[in-house]
Amino acid sequence: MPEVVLADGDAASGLASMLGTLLAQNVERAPHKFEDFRRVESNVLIDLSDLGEAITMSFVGDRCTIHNGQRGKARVRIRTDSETLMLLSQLQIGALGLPNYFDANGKAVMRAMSRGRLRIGGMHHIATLNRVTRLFSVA
Amino acid sequence: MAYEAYSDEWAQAYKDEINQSQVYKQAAAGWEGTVGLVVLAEPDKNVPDDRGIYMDLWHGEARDIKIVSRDEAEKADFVITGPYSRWKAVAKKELDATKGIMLGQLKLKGDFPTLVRYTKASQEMTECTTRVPVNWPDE
Repeated sequence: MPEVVLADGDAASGLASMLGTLLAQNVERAPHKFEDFRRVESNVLIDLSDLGEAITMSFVGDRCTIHNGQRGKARVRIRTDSETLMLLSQLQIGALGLPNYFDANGKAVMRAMSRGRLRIGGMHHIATLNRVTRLFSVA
Repeated sequence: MAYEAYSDEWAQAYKDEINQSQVYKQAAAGWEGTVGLVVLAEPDKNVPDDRGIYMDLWHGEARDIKIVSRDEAEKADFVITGPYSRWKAVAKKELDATKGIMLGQLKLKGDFPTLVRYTKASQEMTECTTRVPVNWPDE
């Protein structure tokens, strides 16, 4: 059973607590996401410019440790704002497990990207990016 | 006419405001569940006791909104807790509730994936709060 741990315990930031809970509940509710969880096997950074908050999610096997701030080298780096992060979490997962960028929500995400409100570093790690997208998708 | 903050009259006005909102009706069309808001006391701001707001929300309609004790509010399916001054900032549009949760200024208990799916509805509920005129106890 995948486990989500807050590295900073009671001092974990609001963003770390929120995304940690979202990830844990999302995987618990959709056990088919276990495989995605296990196969991320890397660090993922989420940096919210409007809040000045960042977290690093360290996926190792069945465990994801969430750190406040930037920690180590992240394979995928998502720099955005809180509103766009919510849009990302609402991306529908379509055929072949790929995010749907053609519905209204997907188009809003693409617009955010073209306007610089969403910047993704490490996009060439497309498999990791898609896994993380699926893990956080509530749609 | 302005209402005393978190009074029964305020709760009724807030309920009316939600039920007049077409945006909320659409965004929350599939919502089923109760929401409790816990307003933590701040005696130096003339809020000597914790208060609760219990909202029975069903398919885009506010069936009931009432002022209750903190314990009663905490029995809801979703509970958001914060000090009085934070809730006042939300009602005055100085703080977005979702951002408040990400910053750890408001604490959420409940199923995060469901709440993320209804981000637009929750934003509209905040909008409705801002449209109800309030006499704040510290002003």
